[in-house]
Amino acid sequence: MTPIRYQTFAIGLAAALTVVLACATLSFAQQDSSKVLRLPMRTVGPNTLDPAKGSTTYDNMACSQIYETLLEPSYTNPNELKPLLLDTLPTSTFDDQGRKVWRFKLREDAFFHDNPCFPGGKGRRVTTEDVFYSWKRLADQRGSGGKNWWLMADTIVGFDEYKAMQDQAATFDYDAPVEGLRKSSDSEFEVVLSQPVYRFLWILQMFQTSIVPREAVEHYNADGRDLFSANPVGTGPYMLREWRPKQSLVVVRNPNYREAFYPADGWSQDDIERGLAEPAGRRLPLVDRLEFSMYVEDNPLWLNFENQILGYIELPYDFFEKAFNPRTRRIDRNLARRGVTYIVEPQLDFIFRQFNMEDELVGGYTPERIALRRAIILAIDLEEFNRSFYAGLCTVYDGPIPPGLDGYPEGGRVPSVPRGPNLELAREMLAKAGYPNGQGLPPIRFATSRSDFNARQTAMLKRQLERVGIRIEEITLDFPDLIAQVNRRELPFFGFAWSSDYPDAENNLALFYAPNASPGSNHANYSRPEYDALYEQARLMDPGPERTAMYERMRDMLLADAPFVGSLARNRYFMINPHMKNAKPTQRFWSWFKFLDTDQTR
Amino acid sequence: MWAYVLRRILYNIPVYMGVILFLMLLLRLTDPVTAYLGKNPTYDQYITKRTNFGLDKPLLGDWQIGGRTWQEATGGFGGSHMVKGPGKGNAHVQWTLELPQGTYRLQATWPTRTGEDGQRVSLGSSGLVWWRVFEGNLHLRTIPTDQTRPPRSTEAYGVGWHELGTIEITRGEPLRVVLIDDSNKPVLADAIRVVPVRVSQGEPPEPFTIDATPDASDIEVKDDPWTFTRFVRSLWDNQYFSALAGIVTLDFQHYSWSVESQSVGNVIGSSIIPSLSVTLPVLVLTTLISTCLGLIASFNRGKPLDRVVMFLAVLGMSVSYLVYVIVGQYFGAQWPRLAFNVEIFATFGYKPVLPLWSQVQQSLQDSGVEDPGFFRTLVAWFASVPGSLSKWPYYCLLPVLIGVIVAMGYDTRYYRAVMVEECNKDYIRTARAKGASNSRVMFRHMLRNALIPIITRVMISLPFIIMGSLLVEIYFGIPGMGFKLFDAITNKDFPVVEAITAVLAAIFILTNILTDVLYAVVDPRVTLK
Repeated sequence: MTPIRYQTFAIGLAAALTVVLACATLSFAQQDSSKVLRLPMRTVGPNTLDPAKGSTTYDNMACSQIYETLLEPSYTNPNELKPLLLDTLPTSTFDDQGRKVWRFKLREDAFFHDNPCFPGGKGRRVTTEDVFYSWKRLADQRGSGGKNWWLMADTIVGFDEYKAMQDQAATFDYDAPVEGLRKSSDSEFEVVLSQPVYRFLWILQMFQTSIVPREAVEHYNADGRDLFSANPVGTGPYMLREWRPKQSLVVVRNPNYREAFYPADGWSQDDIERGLAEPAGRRLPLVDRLEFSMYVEDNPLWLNFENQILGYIELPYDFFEKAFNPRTRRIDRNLARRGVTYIVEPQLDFIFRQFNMEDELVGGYTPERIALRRAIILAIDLEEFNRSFYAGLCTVYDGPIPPGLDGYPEGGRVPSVPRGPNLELAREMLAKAGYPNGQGLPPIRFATSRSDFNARQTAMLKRQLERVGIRIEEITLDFPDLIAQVNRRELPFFGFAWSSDYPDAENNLALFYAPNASPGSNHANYSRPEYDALYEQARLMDPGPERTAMYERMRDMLLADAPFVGSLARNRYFMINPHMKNAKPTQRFWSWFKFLDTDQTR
Repeated sequence: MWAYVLRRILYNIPVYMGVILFLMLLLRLTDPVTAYLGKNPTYDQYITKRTNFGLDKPLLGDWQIGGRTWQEATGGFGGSHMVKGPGKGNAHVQWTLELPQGTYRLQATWPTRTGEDGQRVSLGSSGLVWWRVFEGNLHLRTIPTDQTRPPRSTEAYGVGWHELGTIEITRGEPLRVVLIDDSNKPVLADAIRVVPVRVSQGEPPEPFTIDATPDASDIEVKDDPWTFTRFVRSLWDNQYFSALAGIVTLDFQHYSWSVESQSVGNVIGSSIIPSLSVTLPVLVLTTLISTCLGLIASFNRGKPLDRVVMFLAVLGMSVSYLVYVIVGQYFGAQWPRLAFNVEIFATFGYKPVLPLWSQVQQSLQDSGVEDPGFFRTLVAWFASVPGSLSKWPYYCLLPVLIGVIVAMGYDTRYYRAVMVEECNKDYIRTARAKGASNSRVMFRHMLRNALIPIITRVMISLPFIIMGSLLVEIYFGIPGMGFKLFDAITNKDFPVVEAITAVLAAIFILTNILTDVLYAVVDPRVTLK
């Protein structure tokens, strides 16, 4: 290479480097001062962004940022509902046929996102028609799969008939009327319920009932394609910017979001101490951009939390000992020094083992039979299960009503009913049942679904019961077979878990309502007319001390008859990094990201 | 040479077509839709998924020849039943019953035999057989049944009965129970049983059964007759040829089953570059470094340097990939950050190495350009290339380094063995005798002669670098093909599995051809004829 050519080459190289550097700086400079919050999704994230097709937590998490429902659990107290797309909470009356009628009024300032599917690309106002359309989509077997129809089934007058008609029609007619859906004006409507159930309002906060515009569905799902589920158009505080399935999802602030403000009232003392009430009155959403990444493995999830990249995580069980001192159960010192905090959310869990009340050995309502079941209950040490299988993170409680709901006993204990382990009392009960020290008692068949976890649990159950002379014959079945046998009422004793669909004890008390007996959800086949009468009455009541008292009576009735061994509820541990502000994480609903703020200086 | 290349390509086309046919057959051994939806899909779900993947067409030609009519066979309730080969829902057996208004339980049976252990074994082979129930023309319900298992909800008349469900006759029109041939395995029609639960007036009658025989008055047997036009159409309008057309035009029409809005082409297109951005540098770096190390080691055979290199190579091979990933993540990304607040590498995540067209368009729109044309976007795309590339070290360098460390052990040992063989050849001695320097012998004489095994090894690994590395992708959050394929397999996402496998097979064949050509380029002894 001659000197001159070398020179040219050097200059060229320098010039190229400058360009690259300038571009690089430019691209970094573009990352302006907008507030970005990075959040995790465990597993591969959502499969669809169409609320009518969604079902998983992650579908919910994504849809709840983009779409809105009529009602929303309150951020200050998730057991309460507050209006979201509604102006006020709905009011109810009874019509001349004694049917419950809910009256709704929509907000006047709720607009859909700007989108090419609308004339002129401008999002229009939400009307009554949109509400009816969105609900009818749940009935559309061919259009949206009908996966979420269970939410609406057997609830609204004429809706089931409408669905049956449309199922057999050549095309689904969204314009056909439903008797129980009455439009009063563009923003007011009434809903006539076929059963006056309180849970109807809780269904209206589930993301599957989000309000979607018909234009968007028809625009994106034209010619049989399913593109609406990747091109969501809602009313929510955020709009979809980019979704790379199974990798990442980015939503950005909806510039036309209506004036909505951070809640000022209703905060508990605890929340106020955490500074949750401080942003009161600020306009939502507080962050410009939410970036979700999907984590299939827990290790990188934890590392990115530790790195303060992620705002919060739900602590995987395997990392409990990294985040907390296993002995003192206090947060790890290094994490605390960096300002990491945590919140424990009790889950609406009911992990229990049921007796089949129709079984010849363990079933029945005579004092002897109750004594036998009581003996089993008293021989079992649930705290040991908690320590061995759940790292001690569960709550052990009496009765079927999980922590946080009306009817949950104070401290989880009902004092009138002794809890296990109490071997002496267990032996006494066993004698009372006619089997002193287990003599003459045949092995009790106990069934679980096939898994390592269940096998280990059964081994512990076996050992605990042998202490008083009760023998267990283990039956392991595949889950579908277990269900089938339970439905046919063939099994005497089996393990089950129930997660509440909505925060109302009615959901759990229904598990012992006689008309729900197998193949319904009352797998214990528990049947007591007094209980059923109370349940039927309480189901129609609005929350209040009177209803709570009835729940407590029903709970105590169950504890006295002992149709199940229980109960355990898991707790979720949410770890929060100091840069994420206003955090009160919960899994009950997901529209709370709009309240979050981020402190970029940290 | 071109003639040779052309000939090789032509020769490989039928091979590839055979591979695709084999692959498609393999994936269709069981019904993909049932595998995906489980045992209790709704009829609409089933039909949607099936049409979506083109499974309503024949695979190749018309597979129904010979199975278009219902045949009588012995066994089952009443001593006989009817059987029909797999079909598409055009044929059926229909029971028509005049029943008073009321509630009824419907049950069905199909033939069984007694197995060796005394248990009943079903004669049926179809895991998904559809029953449709109508009152007049009103559709009441569609029920899937599994004929691979014996019916056993209840026992009556010495056979087991499978519960189809409880139905209500409200209008007083005749009840129609239709068993359709919509299955990919033979369908059996035997008998149904009606158990009245409640009737509007009077006591419910006794349960009764109706056996399917072709000449009974309340049974309609409909066949799916053979027609010449349909046969001719099926010769080209079938799954196989549409799949081939998709591959040739690189236009994968089907949509993923797990994420229904994403086309298969999109799944593959969006994951090839992320895979390559890690695996390609790994391949290039490992090959360069390990050939050099192999040369040096072989040259110093038996000396301490050789021993040290081989010790390190064995060490590199014997530790699990996962250990390198976790340790690397901690010391490469986590520890500098926590201890010194220095950010060198990302622990998790990926930003496109090349800017995405849609993103460039989006950012142009955000900055106020109403309708960015192709040219404008292209300019903006080129302008954002350096910015995108500059993110590569932060997200990808750490996985690349880990990949190199892991692969180097194997490669160094292999290349050393190759070089050692070359060392003993006569031409090396000649070169030395002529006074060539060590480096000249190594890089000019030996390396050139050892190129054939090196090329073979690199070429064999090419398809794998496009497939990416599952472990690295999961732990570093790189959205490559490895994870996509793994995820598709675990989710039984057949359209994605099929397309990725087809692409992989194509790459294998292309690299094969390329290898042959490269042999001729580097080795004058090889001629392409």
